[in-house]
Amino acid sequence: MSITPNAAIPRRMSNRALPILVSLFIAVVAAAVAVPVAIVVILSFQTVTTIGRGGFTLENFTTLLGDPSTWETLRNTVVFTAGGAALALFLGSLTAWALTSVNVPLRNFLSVLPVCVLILPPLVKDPAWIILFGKDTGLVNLFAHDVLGMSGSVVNVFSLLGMITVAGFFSAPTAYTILLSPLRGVDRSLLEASRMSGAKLGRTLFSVVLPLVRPALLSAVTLLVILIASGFETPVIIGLPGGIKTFIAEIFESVSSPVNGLNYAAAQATVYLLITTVLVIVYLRATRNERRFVAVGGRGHTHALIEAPVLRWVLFVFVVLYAILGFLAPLGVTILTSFLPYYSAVNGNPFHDFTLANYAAVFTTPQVRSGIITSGTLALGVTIGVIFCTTVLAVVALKTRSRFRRIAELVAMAPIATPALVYSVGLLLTVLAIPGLAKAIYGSIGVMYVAEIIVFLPIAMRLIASSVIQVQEELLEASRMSGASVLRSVVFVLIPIIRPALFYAAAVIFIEAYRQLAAIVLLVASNVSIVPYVSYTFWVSGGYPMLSALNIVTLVLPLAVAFLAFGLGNLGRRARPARKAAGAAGRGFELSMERI
Amino acid sequence: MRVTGLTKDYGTNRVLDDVTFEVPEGSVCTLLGSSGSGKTTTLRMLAGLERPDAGEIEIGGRTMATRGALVPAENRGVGLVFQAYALWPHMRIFDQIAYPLRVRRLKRAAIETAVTEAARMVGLEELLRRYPSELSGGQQQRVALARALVFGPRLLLLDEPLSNLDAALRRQTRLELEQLQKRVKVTTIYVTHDQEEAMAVSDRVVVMSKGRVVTIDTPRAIYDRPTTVFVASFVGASNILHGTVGNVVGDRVEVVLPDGASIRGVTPHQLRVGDPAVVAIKPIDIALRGDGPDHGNAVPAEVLSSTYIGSQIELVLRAAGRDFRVPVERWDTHAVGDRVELLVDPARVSVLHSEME
Amino acid sequence: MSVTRSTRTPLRRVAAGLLALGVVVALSACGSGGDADGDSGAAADVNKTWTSVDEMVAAAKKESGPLNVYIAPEYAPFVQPGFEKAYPWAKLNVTQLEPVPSVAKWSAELSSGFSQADVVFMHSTGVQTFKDLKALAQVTVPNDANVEPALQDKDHYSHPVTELGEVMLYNTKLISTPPKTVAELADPEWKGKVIMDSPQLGGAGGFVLASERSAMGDAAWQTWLQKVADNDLYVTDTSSASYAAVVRGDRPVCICNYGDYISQAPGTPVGVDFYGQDDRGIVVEPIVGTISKTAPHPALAALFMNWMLAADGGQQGFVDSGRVPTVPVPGADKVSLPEGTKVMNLYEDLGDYISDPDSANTVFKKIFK
Repeated sequence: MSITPNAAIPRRMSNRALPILVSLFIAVVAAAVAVPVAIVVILSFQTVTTIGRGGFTLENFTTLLGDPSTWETLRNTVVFTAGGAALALFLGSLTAWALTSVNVPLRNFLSVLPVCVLILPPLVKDPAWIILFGKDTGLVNLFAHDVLGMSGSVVNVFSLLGMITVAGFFSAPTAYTILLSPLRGVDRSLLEASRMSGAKLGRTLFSVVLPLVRPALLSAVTLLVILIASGFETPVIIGLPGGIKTFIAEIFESVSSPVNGLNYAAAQATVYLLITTVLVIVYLRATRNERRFVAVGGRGHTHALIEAPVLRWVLFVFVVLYAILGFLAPLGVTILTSFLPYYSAVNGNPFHDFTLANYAAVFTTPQVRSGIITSGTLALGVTIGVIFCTTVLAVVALKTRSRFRRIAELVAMAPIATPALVYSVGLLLTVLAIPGLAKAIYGSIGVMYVAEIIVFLPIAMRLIASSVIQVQEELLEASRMSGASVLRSVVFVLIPIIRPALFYAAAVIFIEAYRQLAAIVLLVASNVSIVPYVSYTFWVSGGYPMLSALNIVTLVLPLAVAFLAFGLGNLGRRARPARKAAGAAGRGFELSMERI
Repeated sequence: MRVTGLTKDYGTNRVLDDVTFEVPEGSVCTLLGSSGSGKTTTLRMLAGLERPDAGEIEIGGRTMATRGALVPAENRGVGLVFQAYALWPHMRIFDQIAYPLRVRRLKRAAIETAVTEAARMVGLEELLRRYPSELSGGQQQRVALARALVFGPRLLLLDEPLSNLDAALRRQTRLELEQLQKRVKVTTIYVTHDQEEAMAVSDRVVVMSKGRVVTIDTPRAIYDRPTTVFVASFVGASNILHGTVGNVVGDRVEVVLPDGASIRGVTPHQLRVGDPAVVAIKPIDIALRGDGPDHGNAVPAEVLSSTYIGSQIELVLRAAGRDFRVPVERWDTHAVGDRVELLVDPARVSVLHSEME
Repeated sequence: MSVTRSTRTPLRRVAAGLLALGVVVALSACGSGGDADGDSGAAADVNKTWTSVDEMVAAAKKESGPLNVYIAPEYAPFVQPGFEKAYPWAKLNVTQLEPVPSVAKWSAELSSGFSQADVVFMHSTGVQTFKDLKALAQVTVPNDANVEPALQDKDHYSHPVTELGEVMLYNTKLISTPPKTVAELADPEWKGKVIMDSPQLGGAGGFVLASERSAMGDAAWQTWLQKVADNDLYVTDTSSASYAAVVRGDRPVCICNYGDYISQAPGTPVGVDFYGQDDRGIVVEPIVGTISKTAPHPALAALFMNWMLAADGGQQGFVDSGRVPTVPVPGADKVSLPEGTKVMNLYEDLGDYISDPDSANTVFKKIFK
C-alpha cells in the first residue's frame, strides 16, 4: 500500500533551458563588466578619446611614470591605504569578536551601531571630523586649549595619521560584517580545549581563534585595501588641505583637465588596475580558504559566549567609543550645525544663535523632494537588480559544479578593481562606441542603472556569499530528491534560508546607491535630478549649515529603508539550531550544466 | 533495481570499481562497509546526486544512468532519507512533507490527505504545525522518512539511519522501519557500517570494501559462512589466525598453527595440504573448558584481562601466539594469569584460503 | 567531464576580454566619424546672426523635439521652468552636469560622432577645447549686445550668462586688513594665512593666480608662484570648501566666489576684499553657454540662448538665486558687484589662460603638486 500511487512529476523546462539562460546571463554581465574596463585600458594607450584611432602610444605611461610626483603619490597612497586597512581591520574584528563571543552587555543593541556608521555618507562624516579634529579650529583642540589650557594642537585630522584614522574608523564596518559569521562559527569546544590546557584568554585568542578566522581576516584586508584606495572623498576633503595626495585624487584631477585628460586618467587607472587585480586574486584565494574553514565547525557544534567579568566592560566601552566617534559624534555635529546660520569656531563656542532658517530653505526647495524621489527610485531599482544578479551569480559560483562557476565569482568581484568613476567613463565610451547601442540607450536612465548595478555587485556578493555557503548541500539535495527542479529548489529552499542576508545586503546597497555620484556623474540622464547634485547645489549656495540640514533631511529615507530591511529580513525568524557546516567534501548541487 | 559495472574516479582515486548487484522489487538490501568502501557513493548514484563514470543503473524497469545519459535526481522518483535528515529550517513539518506533492502539482485536498496519512504512518500527526528545530532527533528522522515516502517512490534509500541514535532508540527505530517497509512494500536500500543493523533488517547484504563488491548474500550466509577473509573479519568481529593446511577431508580441514597447535574447521574453498590458510573464529563461539561441551578443538590459553561490561564479562586470552577476545557469563570468576583451554566447535570455524581477500 | 582547473579561468577571462576588445574596436572603426565637422547643410544654418526674437521663434517652431541642454545642477532649477514658461510650446531636455564633467562628456560624445547636444554650458576655460574640435557654432543673438563688455566673446563662440567674481574673503574676527593685491600672497606677512582651491583644478584659485602671468612675465610669475606655494598654503577642492574653512576660522583669508559672500547668513563674520583696485581689478570669470555646430535644433538653441541673456528671462533667475548677471538687470544691486568695482577684461588680461589653460595647469602641477 503506498500513499500516493506514483504521482507523476510534471513537465518542466528546467534541465535544458535553464542552464542556457543562466550561461547567457553570466555572459552578459561579464561583458558589462569587462568591456568598459577594456576600453579604459585601450584609451590609456592612445592620445585621443576615439577608440581605435590616433595610433598606439606609450606616451601617457612614460609621462606618468616619469613624473616624480606620481611616485610620491603612490607612496602616500600605500601608507594611507595600509594604515587605514590595518586600523579598520583591528576595529572591525575586535568589535565583531566583542559582540559575538563575549558577554558584553547590551550586545544586541550595540550590533546595530557598526551598520549605522555605514549609513552616514562620507560627505557627512568627513566634514564632521574636520569640525571635531581639525588642527586650528577643531573642537577637541579648542577644548584642550580653552578649558585645559594646553597649547598647540592635540589632534590634527589634516595629516597622514589623521587620514588613516578617518579611513580606519569609517571602513571598519566592512571588516565587522566579514568577520561576523566566522567568529560565530567558532565551536566552544575548541576554546574549552585551550582553557583546559591552561591557556589564558589572550593566548587562546591568538593561538586558537585567530588561526580559525585567518582566511576571513585576509579576505577582509584585501577588500579593505581596495575600498580605501578607491575612495575619493577623504583624499580630497581631508588630504588636499593636509597636502597629502593620493592616487585617486590624481585621477580625479586628470578627468577634470579638458585636453587629453581622459587618456592620462586612463593611464593612471590602468596602473591602478594592475595593482588591484592582484589584490582581487588574493582576495578570491582567501575566500576559497574561508570556505574550507567553515567545515571545521562540524556537525551540531555550539557557539557559546565567553564569560569575562572585567573584559566585558572594557569591550563595552570600546564599542561605545567606536560608535560615538564613528556615528554619534558626526551625526550630532551635523544636526547641531544644521540649526546654525553659519559655523565659526573663532570665538569659543560655535553653537549659538540657533535658527530654523536652513530647514525652511530645504523644505521650500522643490528640487529636494524630486531629488529624494529620483534617487530613492533609482536606488530601489538598483538594489533589486543587484540582489537578483548577485543571487544568481552566487548560486552558480557556490552551489553548482558548472564550468562557469569560477567565472561567475570572478565576474561578481571584478568590478571592485576599478574605481567607480573610471568604470563610468568606460561605460560612457562603450555606449558611444557602438552606434546602434548609442542611439538606443545613450542618455537614458537605463545606463545609470547598469553602471550602479555593476559597481555594486562586489559588495552584494561579499554579503550574500557567506550566507549561501552556510546552506548545507543536503538541504538542496533533499529538495531535488523530492522532485523539485533546480529553480524551485533555489526559490523555495535556498532563498528563504538566506533571507536575512539578502535583506541586509539590500539595505547596504540601497544606502550606497542612494548617494552614489561617481559611478553616474557622466551618465546622468536628462531631466533627472539626484540627491548628490541637490547637496552640491546647497553646498555651493548655502554653505555648510544648510548642507547639514539637507543631509539630515535626505538621510531619513535611507535610514527608514535600513530599518525596514532589518525588520523584513528577520520577520518570523525562529530560533534555529546553530548552522551546521557544509560537508568537507564540498559536494555540488549539480545542475546539468556540464552538457553546455 | 539493478546496477551494473558502476565505476567512479576522483582524480587518480578509484572510489567505485565495477560495482554490480541487483535488488528484487519490494525487498530490503543493505550496503555494508566501513568508511571509504564506496557504499555512500553508490547510494548517491542511485539517488542521482552523483554521476558514474561508467556503468548502468536501472530502477523499476527504467534506465536511470547509462553511458552518455543520466536521469537527474529530481526526475527519478526516488526517496532518500539523509543521515542528518536535511529538514528545511524555515518550513513547518506539514510543508516539509507536502513539498514533494506540491512539486507534482497535486490538488490541495489530495495533499492534505496524503500528508496526514504519511504523518500518521510515522506517528507524527500531532506535530505537523511545528518547526524542525522544535523536534527531537528521532522525530526529525520520521519527518524525513515521511517526506521520502509521501509521493510513492519506486525506491527508498536510507543513509545510515540508525547511526545517530542511542542504543535503546536504535532498536526501537529498527523495528519501526521494518514494519513500515513491510506495510509500504517499497524496494529499500540501507547504507550502514553497523553489521548488526545490516543483519537485522535485510533480505540481502552487499558487503563492500575499497570501492568493490566483496560479497552478496543473505545475512545468515555472510555471518555463518564468510567466503573471504575480509568478510570474515568484518562481520562478527572474528578472531583471525594464520596457518598452513595440514589435512583435508571433504570440506573439513585441519590447519596447523605456527606454534604447533592445530585447529579443525570447515571451508568453502578448495584447499590442499600445504596451502596458506586463515582461520576465523567468532568470539561468541568460543567456550572455556568446563563451561560447555568439548567439541574437539582445544587450545591452551592464558587469561590476560577480565573486563566487566554489564551484560557480560569480556576476557582477553593469549593463545597460539595471539590475543583472543571471549565473552563469558557475567558471573565468571576467571582471573588474570589463569590457564584455561579454549574450546570451539569445528563446524563454527571457517577456514579460508589466505589469498581470498 | 573534467573539473575546471584554476589556471583556465584567467586564460578564459583574458580570451573573452580580448574578444570583446576586438569586437569593440571593429565596431568603432567602421562606425563613427571622429570629427564634428558637419557634413549636412545644417552647418551653414547654425552659424548665423539672428536679428529678432520673432525670426528665431518662427524658425524654432519648425524644429521638432526638445532642446538638449547640458547645464550645472545649481542653475537647472530656474532655467528649465523659466524657459518653458516663457515659451510653452518649447521643451527642454536638461542634463545636469557640473562644468568639468560636462566638458569630459561632450568631448567623448564628439569623438565618437554621437553628439546630440544643442547647448552646453561650461567655464570659459573649456571653450578653446571645443573650438579646436571645431564643435562650436558662431551665433549672434540680439541680447548678446547687452553683455558686459569685459566678458564679450568677439568671435561669438560663447555667451556668458553669469559671472563668478573671484574675490578675497576674510574672517573679520581674525584680521581687519586683507591683502590689497594678489602679488602680496607671496609675502611673509601672509604665510600660513591663505586658503584657495587647488589651482590645477581650474577654479577660483587657478584663475586668480593665472591672472598675474601676463603682468609679471612667465619667468617671474613662476618664481612668484613658488613663493606662494611655500607660504604654507591651505588647499581645498572647491572654493566653497575654502569659504567654509574661512568661516570656521582655520585661516583668515581665502580666494573665493563673490557669490559666497552675498549669500551668507546675516551676522557671518566674513568681509569681502576687492584686491587689485589700484591695478587691473579683480578676476571675473563667466559661465558661458555654447551652441553646438551639429545642434539638432539650431534655431531653438539660439532662442534659448537669447532668453538666457534676457534681463527678464534667464538673467532674472540668476539674480533671484543670488548670482551675478552678465547683463544689466533692474534690482540686481544686491547681487551685483558694487558700483565702480574694477574688473579685468577676460580676453585681454586672461586671454592666454583661457585659450591654453593646460600650459598654466602644467606649471601649477609642478609647483603645487
